[in-house]
Amino acid sequence: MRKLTISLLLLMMLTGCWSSEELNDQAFIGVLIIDRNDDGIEVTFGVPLTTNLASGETSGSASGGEVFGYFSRTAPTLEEAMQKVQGDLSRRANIGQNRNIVVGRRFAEEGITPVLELAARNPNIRMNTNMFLVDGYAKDEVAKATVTSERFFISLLNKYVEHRTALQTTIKDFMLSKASGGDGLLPIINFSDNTEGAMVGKSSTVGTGGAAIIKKGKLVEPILTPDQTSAAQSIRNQLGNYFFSIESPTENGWIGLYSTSVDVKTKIVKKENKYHIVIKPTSEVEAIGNNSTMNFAIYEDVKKLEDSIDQFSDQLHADTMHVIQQTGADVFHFDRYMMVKYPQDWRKIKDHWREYYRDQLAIDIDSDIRIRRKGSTVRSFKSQFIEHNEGD
Amino acid sequence: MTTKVVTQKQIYKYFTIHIITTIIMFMIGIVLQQSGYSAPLGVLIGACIGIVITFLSIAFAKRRPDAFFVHYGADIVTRWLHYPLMAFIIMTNLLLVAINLWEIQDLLLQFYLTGTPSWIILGLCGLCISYMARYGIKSMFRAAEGMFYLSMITFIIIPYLVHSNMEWFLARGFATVASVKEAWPTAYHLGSIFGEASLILYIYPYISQATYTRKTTIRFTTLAALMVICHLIPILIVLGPDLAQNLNYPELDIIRLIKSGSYLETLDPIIIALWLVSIFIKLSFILFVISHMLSRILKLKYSKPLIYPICTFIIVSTICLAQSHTQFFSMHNGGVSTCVYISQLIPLLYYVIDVMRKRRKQMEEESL
Repeated sequence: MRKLTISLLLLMMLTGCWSSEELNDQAFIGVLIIDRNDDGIEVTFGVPLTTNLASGETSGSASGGEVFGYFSRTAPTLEEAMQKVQGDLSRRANIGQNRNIVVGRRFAEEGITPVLELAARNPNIRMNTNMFLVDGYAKDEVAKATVTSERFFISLLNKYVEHRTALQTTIKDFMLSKASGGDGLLPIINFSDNTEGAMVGKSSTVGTGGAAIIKKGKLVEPILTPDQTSAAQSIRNQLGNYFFSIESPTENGWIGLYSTSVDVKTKIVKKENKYHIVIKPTSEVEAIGNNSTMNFAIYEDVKKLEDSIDQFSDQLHADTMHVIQQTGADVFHFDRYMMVKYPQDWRKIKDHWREYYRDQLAIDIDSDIRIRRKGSTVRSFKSQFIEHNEGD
Repeated sequence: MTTKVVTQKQIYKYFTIHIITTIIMFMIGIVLQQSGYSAPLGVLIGACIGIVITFLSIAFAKRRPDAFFVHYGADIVTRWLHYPLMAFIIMTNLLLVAINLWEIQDLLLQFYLTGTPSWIILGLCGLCISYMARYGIKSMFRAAEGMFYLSMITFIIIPYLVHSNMEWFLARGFATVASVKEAWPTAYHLGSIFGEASLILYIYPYISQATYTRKTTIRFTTLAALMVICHLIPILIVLGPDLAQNLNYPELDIIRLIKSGSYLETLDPIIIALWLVSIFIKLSFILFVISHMLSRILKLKYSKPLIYPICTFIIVSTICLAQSHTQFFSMHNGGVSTCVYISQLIPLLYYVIDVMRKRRKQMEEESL
């Protein structure tokens, strides 16, 4: 018994001797920003300044100074630059909490593979780290951005992803398959000017933009517009709240609609020796505005409206797919559908999959969107209260 | 002399844990690299190989249900052959423990205890397993009974937590892409682990209701195979075969994929803790068997005093085993499995000789 007690006591002495991580010695990287300039790669760590943070909280305002700091250095390679930044920090950079990587446009054009490699190999960086692109020099844009609705810039990025405001692309998405490896879409963070954007009246507030197409780890033109990005989000089953309006089927005017979520099923079929990817978005939408004479009580009219919503959706998805397909970047990794369904044929074309995808793969969109609720009123304000009196 | 202290239920729970811990902790990466979509098929074939090996040793053990193999083995093949063979089996088991310990310290150093000297980790692990082994055969089986339900829960929870990341269309690949040819390397590797259940032979006199052992073998092998497949399938469906093949610890990576922002995001240390306990149970059992065999060979009265020296020997050899991951795997490739197979099939040699001798004896008696 005595022996046991002694050895247990000895065991207790062992804990904490090694591998101790003091909270006060850590600089938790909240965002990793990577740019390329003429001298090499510039790495920027966005770090919450915990010392200022605490004093700011107790006094009720951030009087002590900045609560978020950016530390950056340039070096020929990513790793050397990281080492240099660490050299400037008084605390040990801890990347384990990092959830976001932002890359600048020039870096993306020359290839994001060093980041993918770093993130995949480093056990501290998670594979579901989100990636964003800044259409410009990322560090400068991010550092001068005004963050208004949240405390930190990183919280904005996290919320965008959490609320499905922005397309979510993670490190993992670039390495899902060999044949289309390094293909993906990078959501773009926008920085507003004074008159329009996330917060009017403040300069350079943060918002979401379109998305950039990445092929084999390199950015290729064109950039997707915000609408196309929403379609891409929908194909990836990420589209949340979406407001849109389409022309009324009965008369000039438009009808406003709102969809809470889109569910997309994708499959591959073989028709007459040709492979078709069939994308089937289904959704239930609510009418939120009726600026025409259409009457939601008439079933035929509603049916017509549903048909035109389907057409609208088909068109938007098809246009987006057309733009993406032209670049030869299989950003949705359709190759995996073929690999599991037609393994024999897949073996024949897997080596030139990107060409096949660009030139021969047919993409069919088959939207099925229903109007679930017509809102609280039957006829539109216009037809009930205005046009009703027009005869007088 | 011996008491029948191990029940069939304990055997069932213990060997389920024994088989799945190593496979899920360390082998899944290798298995996926070798077989991709064919891995589940490989697991099934491996399980069948394991059952065959275990059945052979049970059949042999049944011939003398109340005596220890290490004792009576000498009567079958003469002492000159028996001791070298036993030495080989002991060495293989020592190697198994060393390999497992090496992998534990490698995993812990890489992810959690960066900066800690590996000998400290090995020393503490060694202390744990030798303590358990010293408490005798009952301790491992009791511990397994406790751990069994906990590990079952994690096995059900993990696939559930990652289900939002699953891409179900990939599941079709199990039917279309899988082939026996691709599955074979997995089957070979895992067969040796499923076959480790043949260690039953060395503790056979401790088992109560020994006639049911074969039925129990089928039950725990099936459950273990199912559990392993239950882990392989989510990994393949979440990550896809190409990505899963490129990861050293795909299991940890899918746990880390649990949706960001959720409070279960950092679940991996809990899982690691569970794994560690399970693998300690397994290693202390092997350590117990080794000490048991050695004490009988050396004709000692007790096996307990041998445990610390053996464990120290294992720890020192683990430290010397490999300096890097690459070195470890170049050594580990195939050769170890073959060694394990040989040590598992050695009792078969005894079995054949024993049967032949008996037959000759009968014939002689008849001719008299």
